[in-house]
Amino acid sequence: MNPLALNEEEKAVYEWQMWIDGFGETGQQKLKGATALVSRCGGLGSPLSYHLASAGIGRLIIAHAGNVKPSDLNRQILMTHDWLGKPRVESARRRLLELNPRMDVVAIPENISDENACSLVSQADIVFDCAPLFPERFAMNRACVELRKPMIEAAMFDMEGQVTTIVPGETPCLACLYPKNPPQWKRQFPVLGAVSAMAASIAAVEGVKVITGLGKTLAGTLLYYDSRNMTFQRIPAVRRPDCPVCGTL
Amino acid sequence: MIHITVNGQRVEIESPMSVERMLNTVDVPPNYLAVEVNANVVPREEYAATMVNDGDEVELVTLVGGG
Repeated sequence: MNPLALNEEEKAVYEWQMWIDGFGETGQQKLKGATALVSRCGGLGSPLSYHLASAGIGRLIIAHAGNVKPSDLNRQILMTHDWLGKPRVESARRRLLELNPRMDVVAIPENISDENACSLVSQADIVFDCAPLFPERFAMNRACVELRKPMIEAAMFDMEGQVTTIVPGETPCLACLYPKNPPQWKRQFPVLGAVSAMAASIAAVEGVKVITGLGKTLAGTLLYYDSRNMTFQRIPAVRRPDCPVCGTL
Repeated sequence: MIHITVNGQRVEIESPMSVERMLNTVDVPPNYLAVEVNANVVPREEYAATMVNDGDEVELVTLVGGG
């Protein structure tokens, strides 16, 4: 990540967040110089991308296949009613640029797979895993470990969510946490937009911290919440020495 | 009989027992990911050696994978 100097307009837009202790203009310059990859801009990826855009990330690569459906609109806040039947990533790109016309948005109308993961991850400084299927999550995890890229892992189900920060070689990778594809997981799941947005906000904060060096991240800790009772747990996560993905790092 | 708490619910079990046995005794969410006893995560390889006693609070953290 190469920090980029701010112009006067950017200094005005980001003035209030540059007051944050430990962030400052240097942190803002780092954000401007950073490229993030977001896998899927759905219930998690939409609010996450919006937060990164408003925070002033320089470049955002969003990967998500398919067109906007009515059932997307309860949570995928980058999708709009007038965009039903049209490509999701184009709706996301349009909305993000409305918020932040200074940033660069690269819209990839594909989901992450073994075929495209390394190519897309190699273009990013940091990766946000917001996919609803474990094969996609695992493909991105393998690419991040191979390319030594940090990955913010965020997920939700029903009224629950979890976030952790994966730093290859230092923390458990996703395959350490889930050695096998969970057979009981299904593509469709109960979701309230505000609950996925909670995980998205936490993930966005983690990403900003990784990029700028602010504070202490969730590296090695799985943050789990159950918003049904509004309880939060910090669960220590340990590497598996026999992990087939990161065990040799 | 003794009482433990599992995910906030009071549960009766016949005696102190291992986590391994407890998981076969109480209702377990099919998608549980990790087990905590009194806020301490129990590694999977220690399920047989870790005991659950009267008054213990057990959390079965469930799998979430949605995006």
